[in-house]
This record gives sequence, structure tokens and C-alpha cells, in this order.
Amino acid sequence: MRLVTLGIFVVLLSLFAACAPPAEEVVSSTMEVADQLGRVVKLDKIPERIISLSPSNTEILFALGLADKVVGVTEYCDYPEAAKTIDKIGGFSTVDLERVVALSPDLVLATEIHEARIIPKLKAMGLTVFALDPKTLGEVLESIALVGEVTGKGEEASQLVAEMRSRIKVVTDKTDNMPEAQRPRVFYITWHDPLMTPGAETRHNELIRMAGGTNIARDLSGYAAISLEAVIEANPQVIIAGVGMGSGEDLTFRYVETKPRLKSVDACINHKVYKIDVDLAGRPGPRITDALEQLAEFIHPELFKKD
Amino acid sequence: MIELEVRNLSLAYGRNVVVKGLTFRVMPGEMVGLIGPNGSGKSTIIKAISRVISPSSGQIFIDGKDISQISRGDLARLLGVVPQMPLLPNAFTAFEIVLMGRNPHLGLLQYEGARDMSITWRAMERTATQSLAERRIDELSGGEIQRLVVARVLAQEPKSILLDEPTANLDISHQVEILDLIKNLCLENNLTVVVALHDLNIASQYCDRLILINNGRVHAQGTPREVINSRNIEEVYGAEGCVYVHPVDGLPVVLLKAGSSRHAKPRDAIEGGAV
Amino acid sequence: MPIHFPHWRRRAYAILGLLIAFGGVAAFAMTVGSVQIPFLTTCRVLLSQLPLVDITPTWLSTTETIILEIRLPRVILAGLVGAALAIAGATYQGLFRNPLADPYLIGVAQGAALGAVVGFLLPFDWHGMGVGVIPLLAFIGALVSVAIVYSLARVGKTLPMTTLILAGVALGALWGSIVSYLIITSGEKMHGIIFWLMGSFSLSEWSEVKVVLPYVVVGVVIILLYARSLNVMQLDEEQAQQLGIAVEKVKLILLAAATLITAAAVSFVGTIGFVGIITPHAVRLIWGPDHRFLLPLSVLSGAIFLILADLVARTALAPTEIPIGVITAICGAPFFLYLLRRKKRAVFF
Repeated sequence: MRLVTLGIFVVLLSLFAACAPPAEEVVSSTMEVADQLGRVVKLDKIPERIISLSPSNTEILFALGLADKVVGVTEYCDYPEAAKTIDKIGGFSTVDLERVVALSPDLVLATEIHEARIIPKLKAMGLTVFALDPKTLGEVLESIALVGEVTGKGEEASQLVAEMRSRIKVVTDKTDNMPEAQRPRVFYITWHDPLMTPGAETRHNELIRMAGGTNIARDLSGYAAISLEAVIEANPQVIIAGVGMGSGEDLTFRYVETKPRLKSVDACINHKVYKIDVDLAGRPGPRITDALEQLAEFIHPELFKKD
Repeated sequence: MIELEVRNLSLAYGRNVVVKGLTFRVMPGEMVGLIGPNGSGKSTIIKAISRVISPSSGQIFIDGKDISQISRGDLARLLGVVPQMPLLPNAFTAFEIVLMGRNPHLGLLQYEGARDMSITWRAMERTATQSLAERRIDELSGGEIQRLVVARVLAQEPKSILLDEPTANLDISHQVEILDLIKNLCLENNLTVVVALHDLNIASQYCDRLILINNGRVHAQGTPREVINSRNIEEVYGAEGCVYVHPVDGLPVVLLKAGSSRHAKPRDAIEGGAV
Repeated sequence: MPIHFPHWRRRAYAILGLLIAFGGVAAFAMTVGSVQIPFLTTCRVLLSQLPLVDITPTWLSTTETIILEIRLPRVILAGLVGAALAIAGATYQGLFRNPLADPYLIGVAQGAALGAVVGFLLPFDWHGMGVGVIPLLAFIGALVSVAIVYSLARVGKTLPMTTLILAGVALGALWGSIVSYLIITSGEKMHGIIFWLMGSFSLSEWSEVKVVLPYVVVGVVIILLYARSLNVMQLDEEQAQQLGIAVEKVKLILLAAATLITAAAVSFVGTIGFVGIITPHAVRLIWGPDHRFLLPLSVLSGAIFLILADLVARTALAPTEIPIGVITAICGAPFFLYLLRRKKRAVFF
């Protein structure tokens, strides 16, 4: 009886997986580029109609001078200003497929969020999808270069990357060999309820390190919840609140200001609590160098204060 | 015409033995009464014969076949049960409930036809429930529900019927009506009927034979005159001197007298008329 | 004299009426979307798909893609899932004789959610044999969960229903807590996972329709076969047995069928609430508890409801999609309250 049940189970499972996808067509192409999800994308011409599925992708496209070729962006693409007037094709992880198809894009710029379900669907409908997934600052520069490559803006991309590199160098020249003792303890607060902070393997963590600080959450993994007690115990010397998230305005900043128990930490005593636009550090785009510079200013005003 | 036979039946709920070594036989056209005090095992026996519970030992035969060897559908075509306190779903109408009695005669893909409808309707007429046909169950009284369940078993058209306290909620006119109906059916169609009753007078009036059960064992078997006598009643029920003779048909009659239980203070001895 | 049955006829006509309504709603849903496509164009595109019809395409290929690759599979899948959840809910309510029963009662939803979340968090993506890793793991999760619940609840040859519910609720809570933990630690993937759990038809594909369709069709047919038995089982189990129903066998068959179609539906679309519990009740309030009508009417009502809900989900705030679970709740609750007030004596079983 058990064997029969097992047999039925196996049959059901294979019924479930009964359809085979059609064989992939091989088309001779002029360009084959690997995107940051490891997918090899074939392009046979320079794209003229580009759709961006994330705000950071939009910023990259505009920075490379592709504004007139961008035909669709998400509702959250708010930088630069001009992006706000472009047709909207979805929210952050939801994509309105009808609108995407109706816009006839020849390139869709996606991110790792879309990997599981949206990219396969877009591909199934015959669209060319290129995905970015930069996990480090270095990979952000690489992503800009890749976008330049697939859009025929290689030159502009190299220029932008070079410029960003030199700005980064200005900061890291002073902080690369900074001993631990000189690195202030930094607490970066992404959200207050629950209390969230970026841990290891996040770009924020890397930025803090490069800006000459040491992240109190560096032993946590990813975007982690942290308890108030742990923060107080770590006694950060600098607190940076990511603000402007959603419609939250500066809730995180006000949280730090009004939480009485935080009054005892060094950062609050010395009035070293700063705001940073959450999009700067959060979006893996051209403005990430702005984030680095701002963080450096907050953490080491004696080294980086602008006059 | 079928015969019902119980052979050396023992029934238990877990370790609690309810019935032990029960043997009896019911012939077609016979109406046999199971009588005995509360908790003596009458309902349990009915459940066993209808294969709701399995015996811990012993066998039950219907039409010569062991009931554990035949399918439920076959059993339901041979045997219908009127349960004691049937739970009926509130939102169905009376007719729909009685119509369910036709289930054993319908295959999986079959639906009720005109013949099933008329059998159901006739069953309701015979139990005086046809006026309730369109009413919902939650609107009906306990007595009406009881007659409805009898109608359902009539619609089932079995060769044998088990009834567990079929008249408990009925007033006297309805009691007589239902019992007369069952008795007539039993005689006309040679049905094999077993009725569990706690009312000894009904048992005496309607049953051809009685089986008096006490503590799960047969205390006495035989005709009403043989079984319902002072000695048996006293031994089984602990009530002294209650058995009299019916003035019209001479069958035994049990009448209550205050102070006749063993709890009463000793009073005057039995008045005249006791058997 | 056999009595006249006006309500049987009324109910049979209701089935016919709902069938027509279903066709109308499905067609309507095809013509409306976040991109405006003229009604006639939609009709022509659809007609051109029929084997013997020859129409020269006057429309854009993108229009054809939208209608045939996005809207059509989406509408069909919404209909299938709505039908499946509604009839599964009706079946569970009949089996458990409990008006609070829904298709997720014995752990299907939570098991599927766990499987899906694991699929989301896997570092690799796998698309084989026509299905992705997420629906496959969700399906396995659902079936394994129910299998565990079943073996926990079974006593010898019988399956006590209250034990089944308790085991299902307990195990479901366990899976749910694991899912919550995984979500919190999932980092950036959290958004996608939460959206999947809330249910969405936005990425419906033909390959998914092809997989879900046979399960739903087979399951529905099996359940419909036992409609009359389900009626008789509304009596207590003792009476049902005495009327010739092999109660344990019927329980097992119906549970398996209802669970299977629920698992198939949930694996692709996520857990959509409300449809499975409210649709059968609404049908029962209007057309009565007789399962021979209740079941087919639930199938049709569920399909219509979910197609319309999906329509609202994808057009009301386009290009943003509202999670369909929100729509079903917003639409379902007031409608049900209204029905309750209309038929003042609301008795379910």
C-alpha cells in the first residue's frame, strides 16, 4: 500500500512537471555580454527603447546620457527630475507586463529582485533583459561600465567611472590605512520600527569602512534587526540616519533624537547625529560616490570638511 | 425475507466490556424487542448489528452472511436503522432528509429518479410527515424529527429494520401510529425487526419476542408473558411488584407504584393484582 | 403523489446562468487591462487563434503578445484558481461539517509557503520541465505538510476529523513561524517573497495553465462525483454508514482531491484568502446546501469572483498592482455581510 502511495506521488510530481519548454533559438548576434546575474545576454543592435525596472538603473541610464532612449521607468524613479515624466511601468518588485510589452522595448534593465519570476517571464515574451546586481562599490562601477557596453555608451561610461574612481580615491587615500583606533564607531540606522541596520555584505558597510569608520553592526549579516540594547552597548560615536524613505521623511532621525535611552551614547553627547538621503547610499548608482563623500564628512570632519 | 442472527457477541469500548456472550436470532416477520435498564447495552447492540462498531468477539449474520464480509452498500440495502437521537443538518428540508434513505439503492453516478421521489413521498405519507416536506430541519420539533427518521428508513426499503428508542419523543397518538405502522410493515412485508425499548409496556404490546438484557448479558428470552414477570423485573430493575395484566388483551403491563424501589422506606406490602 | 420541485429546477437554471455569466466575465476581462486595446481588436485577435479561422493580422505584434501571452493565460489561471479554491472550500466545509473550514485548514497553504520561500532563497535558479523551482517546491511543501498532518491524525483505519483540524492548525503554525523567520532574515528578497505570499496572477504563463488545468479538472470531476455522498455525510458519520456510505473511503478520496487542487492552485499563485471560505457560503445562502448544486455553483462562482478580483487588481491603480488577497477581502466581506442580512436566518448546515 505504501509503495502504491509512493508511486502515485511520483506520478503526480512528474505530471506536475510535464511540459518541456521550447528549445532556445540560437540567433547570430553582434554582441554577447554577461550581466551581473551570470546570464549571457545577446544583443544584435544598439537599443533604442530602454525600460528600467529600478530607480538605480534609471539613474545610471540618465547619467550616461540615455535620457531620450528611456521609454519606461518605475513609480519610484525620482532622480533626476526628468525621470518623473517618463511612462510608469510598475512599482518596485511588481512590473506591469502589459505596459512593458506595449512600449516595445529592445532592452529591459532589471535587478536581482526580478530574477526569480519576472526575468523568466519577460524572456518568455521575447524581450531582452539585462540584470544588474552590484554587491560592492567596485561592482557598482562595473555595472555602470556594463550598461555603457550594452547601450553603445562605452566612452561615456568609462568617463563616468573614472571620475567616480578619482573621487573615491580622494577619500580612500586618507582612510585606507587608518588604524582601528582612529576609526569612529558608526551606527547607520535604516529603519526604526523594527530597528534595522546594515551589517556585513552590504554596500553601506563597505561605504562606512571606506569613509574611515567602523560599523557597529559589522558582525551581523545583511540588513539585520538590532536591539536598542546592543546599540547602546556598542556606544557609537557617530549615528547616521537614512531619511527620505518612502514617505517617512525623517522618522529615523527623529527616533534617534527623541529616544531618551540613546542620550547616553557618545554620538548623542557630542551631537554627531547626521541625516543622509537614503537613496544616496541605498541605490547602487552614480550617486553612491556622493554618499561616500557625505559619510566621510560626517565620520571624519577633520579630514573631509568642505569649505 | 431475511434472518438476523447474533452469535456469542461480545462488545467493548476499550477495556470496558458492555456486552458479553450475546446470542439470539430474529426471523422474518418477527418483531423482537431488546429491553433492559439504562446502560445495559441495547444501543451498543444496535450499533454492532449495523456495523458502526466492531465486535470484540462473536459474529453477526444477516441473510446468512457475516456482516463484516459484505460491503456497506449491500448491508444498507438489507438493513435500515432508526437511531435514537439523530443529528440532522439544519439547512436541509425534511423531504431531502427522507430522500437520503434512497442512497443505498443508487450508484455513484446515479441521481434520484421519479420512482425514488414517489417512494420517498409515500414514506412520508405513511408517517404523517408529508406536511413537513418543505420545512427546514431547524424548524422541526423532536417528535417530528423522529417520525422523519422513521420515514427515511421506510424510504430505504430494507428487509430488516433496527430501531433504537423510536418513540422516546413522541406523544401517545404518534407513538401508537408509528408503532402500528412498523408492526404492519413487519407483518405485511415479512421484515425482520429489532426494537430497543425502555418502555416495557410498548414492548409487551408490540413485540413477538423479548430479550431482556442486564449488564450486557441475556437475562431472559421469550414471549412478553414469559419475560415480563415480577421476578425478572425485580431482579433486573430492582422494582418490586409492578407487573399486572392488561385488562383487554391479557398481556403483561408494568405500572409504577411509589415506594416500590429498594430506596423506599418499607411500607405496606404489595397490593392485590400483582402477578 | 410525488411533489413538484421548483427549487431543483431553479438551481439547475442557476448553473446554466452562471455558466453564461462566467463566459461573459471572462470575455470582459480579456478586453480590459492597463493598456487600452479596442474591443474589436481583442475579439479579432482571439478569433484568429481558432483553427479554421483565417484573419489577416491588422494589429501590432505587441497587442497580440499582450492579449495572448499576458491577459489570456492570466484570466484562465484566475478562473481555474478561483474555481479550485471555491470547490475545495465547499468540500472541506462539507467534510468537516464546519462553516469555518477553508481550503487551507489542514496545512496546505503554510506548507506551500514554506516550500516557496525556500525556493526563493535558493542561491540558484532552476527552470526545468516547464516549471520553476518555486512552484515545484511549493507543491512538494503542500503535499508533504498534508501527508504529515494526515499520518498524525489517523487512528487505525479511521480519520477523526477534529484531530485532523488540530494537527493541521498546529503544523500550519509551525511552518508559519519558520516562514516568518526566513522572511525576516531574507534581506532584499523579502519584498518578492511577501508579494508572492499575498498572491498574484501578474506573471501567469501558459506553461502554468497547462500544469494547473489537469489537476483542477480531475479534482473537480472527482469531487462532483461524490456530491450526493457529501449530502448524506452531513448526517453524522454513524447515520451515513447506516445508509451505505463507506465513510472512511469517501473522506480520504474527497480530502485528497480537494487538497490536490488547492496545492496546485497555491503553488503557482500564492495564498489567496477569502475565496475558499466565502464563496461556498454565499452559494449556500442563495441556493441551499444540496451539494449537487452547491459544488458546481461554487466552481462557477469562484471562477467569476477571482477573474473579476484580478481585473480590479491589475487595473484599479495601474501600473501598480494591488495584491489580489486585498481585493478578495475588500469585495468579499461586505458582500457576505449583505447576504447574511438578507436571509435573516443564516443557518449553514
